[in-house]
Amino acid sequence: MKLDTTRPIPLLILGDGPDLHTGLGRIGHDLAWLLSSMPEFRVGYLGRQSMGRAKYPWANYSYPESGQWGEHYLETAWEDLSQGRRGVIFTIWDAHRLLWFADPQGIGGWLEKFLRSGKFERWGYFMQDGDGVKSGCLPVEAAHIMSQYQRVLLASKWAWEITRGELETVGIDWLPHGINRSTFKPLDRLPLRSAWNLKDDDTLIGCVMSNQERKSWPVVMEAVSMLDSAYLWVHTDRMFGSWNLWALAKEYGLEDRLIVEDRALTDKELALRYCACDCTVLISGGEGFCYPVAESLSCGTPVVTGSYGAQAELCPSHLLANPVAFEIRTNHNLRRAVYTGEKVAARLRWVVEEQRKARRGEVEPLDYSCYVEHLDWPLLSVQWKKWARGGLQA
Amino acid sequence: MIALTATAMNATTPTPDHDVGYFLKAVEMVGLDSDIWQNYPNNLGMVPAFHKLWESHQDEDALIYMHTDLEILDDNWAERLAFELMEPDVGVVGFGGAMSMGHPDLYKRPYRLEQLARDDYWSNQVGWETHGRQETGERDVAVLDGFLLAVKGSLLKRLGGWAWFPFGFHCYDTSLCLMAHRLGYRVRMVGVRCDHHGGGTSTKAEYVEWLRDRGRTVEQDHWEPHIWQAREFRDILPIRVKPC
Repeated sequence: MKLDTTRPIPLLILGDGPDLHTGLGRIGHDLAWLLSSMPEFRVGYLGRQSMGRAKYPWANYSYPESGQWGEHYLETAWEDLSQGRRGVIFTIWDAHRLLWFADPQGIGGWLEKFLRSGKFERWGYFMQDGDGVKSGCLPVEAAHIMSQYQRVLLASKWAWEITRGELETVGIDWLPHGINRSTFKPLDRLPLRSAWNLKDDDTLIGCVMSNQERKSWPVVMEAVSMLDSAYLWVHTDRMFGSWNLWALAKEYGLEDRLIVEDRALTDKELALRYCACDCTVLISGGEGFCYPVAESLSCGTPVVTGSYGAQAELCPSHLLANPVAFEIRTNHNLRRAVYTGEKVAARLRWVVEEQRKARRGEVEPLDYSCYVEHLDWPLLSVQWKKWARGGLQA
Repeated sequence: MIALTATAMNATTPTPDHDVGYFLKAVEMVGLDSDIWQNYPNNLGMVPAFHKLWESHQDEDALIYMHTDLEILDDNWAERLAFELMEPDVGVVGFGGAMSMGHPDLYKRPYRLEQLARDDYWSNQVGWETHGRQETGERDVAVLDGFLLAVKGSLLKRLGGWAWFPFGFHCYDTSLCLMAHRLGYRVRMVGVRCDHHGGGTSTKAEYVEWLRDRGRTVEQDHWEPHIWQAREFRDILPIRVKPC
């Protein structure tokens, strides 16, 4: 059934609250602003843990963390937004959170009836961060979920490659998310170093990662500990989480060379810190998009990361560490990469030395910001609008 | 309808490029009005010359811009062009065109020149098989090759001639087609038998010297229009038309 394009189409975003600082929340926030600027849509946002803001131009609905993925709030939000018109529910989450939404078979009651009502098309933006048991293919669960959507958009070509073979009947494409390149840009590295009492030739490695099991904090700590007298700036959501970062730092001998910021930072504060670093590092089992990699590069600061995952396609190969193994993790059968501190340290050491040489004028400095020039949000938003409009022409 | 051409770029020495024999033969074949811009001895560059020609003929229903190295072999060529241009939504017609332009990854990855390549090229020119596939009929295309561009006069008027195009040669043909798409026109090719002798003007020593006199290099002359095009047509590219 086609959407009626003679009037603005109701489009409800379902995802992390647009006022949260999570990567998914930030992506939802930016997309909600963009879609709200398009006369083709009347936008609503059902956001997990969202407080809302007076300035939002969309209808903002929220539910608490205890409300899981919003299943008990979705119909109310939809009926209020759509006023009986057919439209789109656009999810911005990992696929495995959405089995109930994609295929409500067996849920029963009013929710199954609503989800099967045909009142909306299912569009999804998926930050797929791993393949499955079969290498190069989606986990079966994720493939099934995405196959129930009318439109599937992946955040990376890497994820698109592992998805497209399994979803032949679904409109599938890929499009990265944008970043704010007017803020994340190369800046003078010295002011912040001075504030942190670091000298120009001190080695400063940055790491911006949440404290969750998927992030390989022990590998990061081990790698940095292998560099002579290197300092580690840590920006995370909490020091005690899946990992005890204080304890890790202590055991890897980094406790005196650790700069910790576990508070929310503004984009400008973050940019200053990226620029102060010689290099940043991000090692995890897999990434679906990865703001810290994009933002670090945009600031002109190289980032050593793993070669498995969506973030790898943003980086030149000399910044990539190869996994030493893979393992299947979580109850969603996701393939995760395993790295060693030694390999990551080798990359870091080389990159830091090249940066030094460039500062001394011995080698041509590499412009790392050019690797993410295409992510400039005002420019990339043109492609996002095209994608959104493409769903109305189908 | 008027046929137009500009002699090729050579500021100092007459060369075979100044031979407009193919052009004259083509217009005589169909009895069409014509005009020639002599880019000698004062060489404006090709697109500025096209603009000058437009200024002189802007009230024409259609302006057919031809390269001097195009030999037309079918004597109904003008009629076939006119037939296509009679459609209200057709803006530009040519003798060779590609079904798509721009790699699907364009704008999703950092810019590279290859991302702007045209693909699936159709024509009925001599040696069509070295360029793509043969079409003796007509079809919608994404972009045309500039060896012949028949442009609806009203489209050029909306664009103000060619002044919007900031370079002398490279990419003017595909850019015009993209402009037409932006304004809601279709772009068509007709499979007229012809031979594009491919003068290779832009690689000749005279052209290199002409560029040097203007403080430019061949690389700049090639790269800059593409970069401009990638930026300018973000709303259109990549483009792929459906076969019809």
